[in-house]
Amino acid sequence: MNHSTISYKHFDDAGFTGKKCSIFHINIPHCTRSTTAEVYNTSARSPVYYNQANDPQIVEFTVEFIPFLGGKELIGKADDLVKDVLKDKYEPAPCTICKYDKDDKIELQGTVNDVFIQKVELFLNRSRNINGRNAENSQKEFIRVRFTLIGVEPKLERK
Amino acid sequence: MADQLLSPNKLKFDLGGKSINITDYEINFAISNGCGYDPSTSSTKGIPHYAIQKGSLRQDYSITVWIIQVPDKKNNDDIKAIKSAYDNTRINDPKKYVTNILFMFTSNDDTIYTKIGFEGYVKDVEDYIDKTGNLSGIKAKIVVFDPMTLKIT
Repeated sequence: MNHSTISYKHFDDAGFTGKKCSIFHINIPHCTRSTTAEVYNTSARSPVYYNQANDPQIVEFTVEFIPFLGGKELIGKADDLVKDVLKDKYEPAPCTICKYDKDDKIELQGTVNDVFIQKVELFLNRSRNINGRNAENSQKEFIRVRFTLIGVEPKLERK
Repeated sequence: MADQLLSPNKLKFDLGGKSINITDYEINFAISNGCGYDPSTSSTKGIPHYAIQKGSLRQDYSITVWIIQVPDKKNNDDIKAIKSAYDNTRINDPKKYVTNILFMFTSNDDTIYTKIGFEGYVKDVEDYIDKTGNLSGIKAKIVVFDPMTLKIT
């Protein structure tokens, strides 16, 4: 089965592992490196000077988990993960995202350095059918925990 | 053994110490710390260097509960309790209308897995008739009054 994994120290410490929750959604950070050029050409006859610089290698990406019954404490821990970032001694950690193919081999591996958590969103809705409000017909929703992470210098390997 | 998903089946809603039965709910929280990377160049090494800029916590939320009126009017007390809580917000003194609000999410076996508690009040109450025109009820929005009291455990 195609699947993705995330390996990140702060998630592992808090219990966001395969035993207690499942990954519902993950996106590969935007990994292109572009160059910004600035051209000075005040007069057509004069030599053309230019400067160029790399765009900041700062990426944001989101990971969404669905906790299992065995991971019922995860919701309470989720907001602590956000608050811990404000501590003086907080250390960002590298994050690895792998996408596996059907043969269980790594197809795509993305690494981002110095990742920390920026935001957590908790979705505790009973039903997905918002307009109808008909509890019988509405689709059952499950609890989701979505994290927004930020890191620098992403690398992407296609294997 | 297959894992069971944590599904929001049962919710106990407590408004100022009074338990209220609700029909449906939507509770969403977003907590962000306002931290980000500030791109700056290290002068000593000449390589790109990124520094973390720390911010402060921000809580965003949307809490809506629905109560559908049942024909035998058994839950009229619940509807009245929410409506009177809303009416109290017209008083100038927050002590009169800000109460302890507690949401307890339990599994089907009544094991509490998440508690969300805060000091808040009922901000908005709307009477509605659903799309089919058969059921009527109220829709209430609840807000946090004191952000320091918000505890998600």
